[in-house]
Amino acid sequence: MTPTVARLAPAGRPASLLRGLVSAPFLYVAAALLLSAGVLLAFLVAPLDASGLGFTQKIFYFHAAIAETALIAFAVALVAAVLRLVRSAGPPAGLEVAAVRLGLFFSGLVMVTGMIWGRAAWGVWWAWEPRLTTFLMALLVYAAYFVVRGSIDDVQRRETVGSVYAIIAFVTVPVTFFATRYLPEGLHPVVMTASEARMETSMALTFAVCTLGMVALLAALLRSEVALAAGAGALDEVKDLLEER
Amino acid sequence: MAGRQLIALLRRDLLLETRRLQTVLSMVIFAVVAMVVVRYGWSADLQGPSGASFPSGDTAPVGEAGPTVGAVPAAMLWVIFVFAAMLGLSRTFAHEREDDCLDGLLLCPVDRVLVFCAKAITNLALLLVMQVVAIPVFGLFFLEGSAVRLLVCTPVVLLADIGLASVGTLVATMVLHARSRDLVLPVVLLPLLVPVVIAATSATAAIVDRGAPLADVLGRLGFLAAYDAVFLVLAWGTYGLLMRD
Repeated sequence: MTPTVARLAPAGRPASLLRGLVSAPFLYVAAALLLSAGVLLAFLVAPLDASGLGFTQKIFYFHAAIAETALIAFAVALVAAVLRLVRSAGPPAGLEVAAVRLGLFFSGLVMVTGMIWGRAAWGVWWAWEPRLTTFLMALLVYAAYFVVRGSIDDVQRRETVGSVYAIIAFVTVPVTFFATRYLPEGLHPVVMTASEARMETSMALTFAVCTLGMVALLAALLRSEVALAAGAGALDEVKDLLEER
Repeated sequence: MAGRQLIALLRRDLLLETRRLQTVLSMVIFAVVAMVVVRYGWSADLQGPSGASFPSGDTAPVGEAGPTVGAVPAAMLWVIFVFAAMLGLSRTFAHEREDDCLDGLLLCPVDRVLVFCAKAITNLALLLVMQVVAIPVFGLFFLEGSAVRLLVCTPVVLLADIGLASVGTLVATMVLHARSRDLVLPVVLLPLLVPVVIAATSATAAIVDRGAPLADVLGRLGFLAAYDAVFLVLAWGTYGLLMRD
């Protein structure tokens, strides 16, 4: 019991440079700067799309960046789950839960930005085509993660089943990713392919800045969530200790 | 060794199912009743005020854009199969729980993966028995003249059933110790089965509507086989963890 309480006390050693670079405040500042730069680049620097999408194409800088960030969040959950199952001292359960939760959060944003663009480009908010359908499915699969975890009382069992589920749920991510590329009846445009990125340099730069900004935001939020979960766990332990006395 | 153990486990599960035909009977009755309801509603819809009627697949406008007559019954067929499968899957561990056999099963010196295999094969057998009755009924109700084409669907049905049984058994094990597991099972299982349902539906519809390109059906079959393989590998990798105690 006491070690956790001791861990909450401020660490005595000086923080290294690397530690400072991945600290939550730094990541929040980096995300804010990169995303602001991304907005400026997208609207002031990047040229208008010539392929017929016109001004509406600008939402892609954010839509695609958020989508990639959501997939990264689910990948983080997968890696955390595998490490937790393979090694007895893996990352804390809080990381896996936070990654799934943030993946869902970013997926919701993908839905919103995608629907706005779909309304402008296709004239409808939603179309039952492969990318949208598989993405919605992935969203539902990950939402069920919390149903599974919430229904199991035993802590040990809940974390094992949760980790196994986080691994299984990841199957939906490659299905979503490849839906646009291999299914014939898709409407969703494909910009990046293995052989070429059909973009001008300034467009690619804008896209890269936006993606980095979103990933920095994800990392910052992940850090905060993990710290919050650890704090909540420690608080529970302290409460238990107080009750024992 | 492993083969003999698997046969012993399988014999036990199948014996339990055949002694009380309750599960398979309820699956068959559910499937047939659901088809009657849909067939009735469907004919009422098609012979509506406009007087338009498409009595069978033969007079369907083939090759037009949008769903043809074959696509709607095929989708209904697979939705009914999934819900019928759910009836069987929710009973996967019912015997073990109700008669306190779970501890005995876990004490057996057998690889946990064999327990999974026995349960999955039992669920597969239940599905196949249900379909042997339900698919001819489907042909009778919805296809009439072209019902013989359903025989071509056999590989689709087999591959999709392996997917339903393996994913279903895995999820049934995950929610084994959950509170209100009968509620959690469908919530978790249905989104994971969406890819199977979509692929099986489009393959079935392509076969039932004449003139479907063979390559299209083969692509769906390949997807179903890949999905099955991924989940079998995941089950093999995680089942020991799920049934640790």
